[in-house]
Amino acid sequence: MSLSYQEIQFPPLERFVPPKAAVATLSNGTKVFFLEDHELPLVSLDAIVRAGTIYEPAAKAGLAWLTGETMHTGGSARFPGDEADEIVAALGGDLAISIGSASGSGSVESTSDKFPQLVEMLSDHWFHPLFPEDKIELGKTAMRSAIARRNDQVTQVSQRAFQIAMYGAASPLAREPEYKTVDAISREDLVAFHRSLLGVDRMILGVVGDFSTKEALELLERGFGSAPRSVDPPAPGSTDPLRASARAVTFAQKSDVNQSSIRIGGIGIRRDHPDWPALRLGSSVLGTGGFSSRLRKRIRTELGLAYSVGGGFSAEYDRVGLFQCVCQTKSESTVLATELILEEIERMLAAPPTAEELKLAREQILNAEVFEYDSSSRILSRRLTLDYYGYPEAFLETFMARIATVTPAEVLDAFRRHLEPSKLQIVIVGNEAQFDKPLSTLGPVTTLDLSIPNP
Amino acid sequence: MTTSVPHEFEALASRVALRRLSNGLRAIVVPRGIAPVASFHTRVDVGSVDEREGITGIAHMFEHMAFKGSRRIGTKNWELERTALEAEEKAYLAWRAARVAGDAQAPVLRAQFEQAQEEALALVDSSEYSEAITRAGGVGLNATTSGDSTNYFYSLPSNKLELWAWLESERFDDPVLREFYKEREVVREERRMRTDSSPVGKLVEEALLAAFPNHPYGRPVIGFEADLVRFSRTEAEAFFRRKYSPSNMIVSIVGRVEPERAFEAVERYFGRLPAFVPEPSPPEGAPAPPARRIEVRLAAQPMLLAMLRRPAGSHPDDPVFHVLSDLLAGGPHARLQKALVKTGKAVHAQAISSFPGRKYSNAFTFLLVPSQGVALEEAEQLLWKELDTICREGPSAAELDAVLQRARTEFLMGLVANAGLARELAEFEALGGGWHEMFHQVEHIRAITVDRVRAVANSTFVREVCTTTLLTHAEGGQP
Repeated sequence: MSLSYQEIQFPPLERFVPPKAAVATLSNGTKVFFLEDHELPLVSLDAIVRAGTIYEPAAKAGLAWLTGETMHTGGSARFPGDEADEIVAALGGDLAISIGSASGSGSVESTSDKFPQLVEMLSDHWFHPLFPEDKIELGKTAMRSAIARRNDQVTQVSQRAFQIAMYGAASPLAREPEYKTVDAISREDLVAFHRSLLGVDRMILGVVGDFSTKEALELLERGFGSAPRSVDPPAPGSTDPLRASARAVTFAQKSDVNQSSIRIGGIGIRRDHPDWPALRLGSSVLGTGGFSSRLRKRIRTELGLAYSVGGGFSAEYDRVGLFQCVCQTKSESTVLATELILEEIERMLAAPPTAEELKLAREQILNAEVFEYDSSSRILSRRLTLDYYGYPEAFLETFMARIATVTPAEVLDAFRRHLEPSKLQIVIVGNEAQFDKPLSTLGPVTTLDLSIPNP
Repeated sequence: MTTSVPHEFEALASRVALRRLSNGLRAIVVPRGIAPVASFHTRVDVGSVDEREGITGIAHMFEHMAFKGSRRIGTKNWELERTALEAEEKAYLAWRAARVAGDAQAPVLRAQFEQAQEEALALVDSSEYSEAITRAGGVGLNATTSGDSTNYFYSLPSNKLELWAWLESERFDDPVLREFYKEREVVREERRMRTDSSPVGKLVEEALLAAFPNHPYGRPVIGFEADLVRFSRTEAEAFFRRKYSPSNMIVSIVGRVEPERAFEAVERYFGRLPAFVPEPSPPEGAPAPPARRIEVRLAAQPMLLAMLRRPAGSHPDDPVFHVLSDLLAGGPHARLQKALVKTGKAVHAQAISSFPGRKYSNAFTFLLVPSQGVALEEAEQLLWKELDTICREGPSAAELDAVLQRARTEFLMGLVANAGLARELAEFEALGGGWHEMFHQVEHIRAITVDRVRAVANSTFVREVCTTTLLTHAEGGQP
């Protein structure tokens, strides 16, 4: 037995050639990515579509969600929603449609023998929805109930406050459905949203699992090859974050908690920005690198001030992402913990990470690279994502090659280019009466009124 | 074992191998896949049920401490640190005794403890243990504690098998519970997050206290606040020495590994853990109390938990409870969804067949979240109407068939990821029937008849023993 774990000699990692997704095109030009994997008799289909809350009018916030929900619950003339639920249950599979902020998805997952029926049902729901009034009303009931409950959990409140602080209350990434916007949505709005945004021309497809490519292509050709196209799609709303001129504190009161939720935010980058590898490594040193990261080590391990603490830059594929640090600490250490996070952020800007810190961050990423290829669904899903956002197929390989060469000075430079400590936004939700110091010690405070207007 | 595995799962099941070391530890190895990765899972048959009054939360606390290292990892200088740790513990116990006695010396002793703590902390190489894993490319590193068990898991590139064997055996052979009192503060923050500042967390804690009096499942896994500020490192070490025997441990390895090499590494590293007979887990708790109705008033919207006692997971009726939860709330077609969600009376209706654990009698649990403007009592009545119907009529043959189809699909989906398979094999092996049982779940469900479902429904869905916990809205707290 080796005396020290450092003396263990590892055999070289077995070389393997990861499977690659294939691509095909339906007769109408729709792209389909395939990856066969016959280990288990399961197949899944994912459809991604360019639609989301960023396309809905502010006065009808909730329209995108309700459209996706009702496509599924209302179903089509051939497969009305409630009957479809029974059929899906009898087949033992899953069928889902949902519309998020910038993209929507339709998916099917089942055993191989049931797959064709479910794909047929998904495409019929997707392209020929009935949007019955009773299911629209049911969806509105769910939305109104979600509005009534949205202040119950402190982290949900702080998430919302953070989006408001970073994007402004009117941004499609910050605003939420309100009773009045839900009331304003009509069936005609759903029909129009569907007609203008959910056509097959805005969609790409991916299939992974136990199927034959030839049969699956025929199946998808039937379901998607001659499906309706979008008509006059609207332009999306802006997803740009606010450019704050100075540091500010946004506060929301929650009297029934003994722990505060703290978020500190700045503006990040798109994923194809050349600084992303350096920011990714620096973020690992600061707060995304597990127990070894500075925030975790200092605020959690050494001081015992938090269970949950961390953060760094995130990068979005299609828009500028955010820099965000988060922490949950007892009310009595709210300002202290915030100051400590700010101090660690400043330290990232004062000097480069040590060679040892960077080496660890680098090894964590490079040695785990093999997990990017450890399942067919991960390989397919990445290929689909890269293509959907127009990124090169070898994006990950290029990123990894860059991770191997970034220097401490480059991390410092990248952090200095993208982080302005004097403009960081601080969001705190908690019970002010128990705070250790006034929040004004952190900067000018704006109190958010997140109370829910009466229905 | 000669139990034959259903034909469609034979190919995978035939690759599963189990060995028992002479110290009682069991190892399961499954060679699988083409990517050079492997998932590692350790299931220790020790959970919060093994705690005693006054040390609630200590099983979970030990889980946190199992990332702190040993004499050989996590220290700057073990000889100096050992002395410092002894001094720290002595100072803590002195302070605690004074605090409990209301002694005027307490503040002085506290200062002495804090001084001793600082001296010990200065000798720690914090995070060396977890760094050794992540530096090697480890992903999914985590651990969980429940009433029944404590689970430690992560995945590594498969050439790092020996590193896992070294580190995982080290944490159970020679754990040093350094940074204990700082980590206790971390756990208190975890309690604030999960329980004190979470309406659902508070509701569940109150519901379990009410539904399981004099029963191992009545106490919260995270521990009571009074215990979290009181228990000592000495008590955590004693808990470890009483309970963490190799016979309580199952390790499983799933991935691109050569079985003989894997077993050899387990033998070489885990073979050093000394065998001993662990303190037995407590006996079955008191039977269900008569129907109780608890109201928890919080600054949150209403919801309801209904708990009905059912036998332990080892009971032959166990798959019937799965069938009941699935046909009542397993998807948009299910009975409660039709009666509550599709009618707009509730936004969420959930049935959990086994809560909060499986080792002892536990609760078939319903969670109802009524729609805005719908009274809890109305949702509750609709729930009982459905339960009464299933008791009277049982399910239809078509419903049973749909449950079976879904069970098969779900089972297959559970096999996809190495980490999930490693966890499930260890869990089934621990539950007494052997890992083979994992592959028989679908068959057990196939054998269930309409009459059997009705019989189990009738013996379970009994209002006279239901503990109902209501979260009712109190003003205040809203931002």
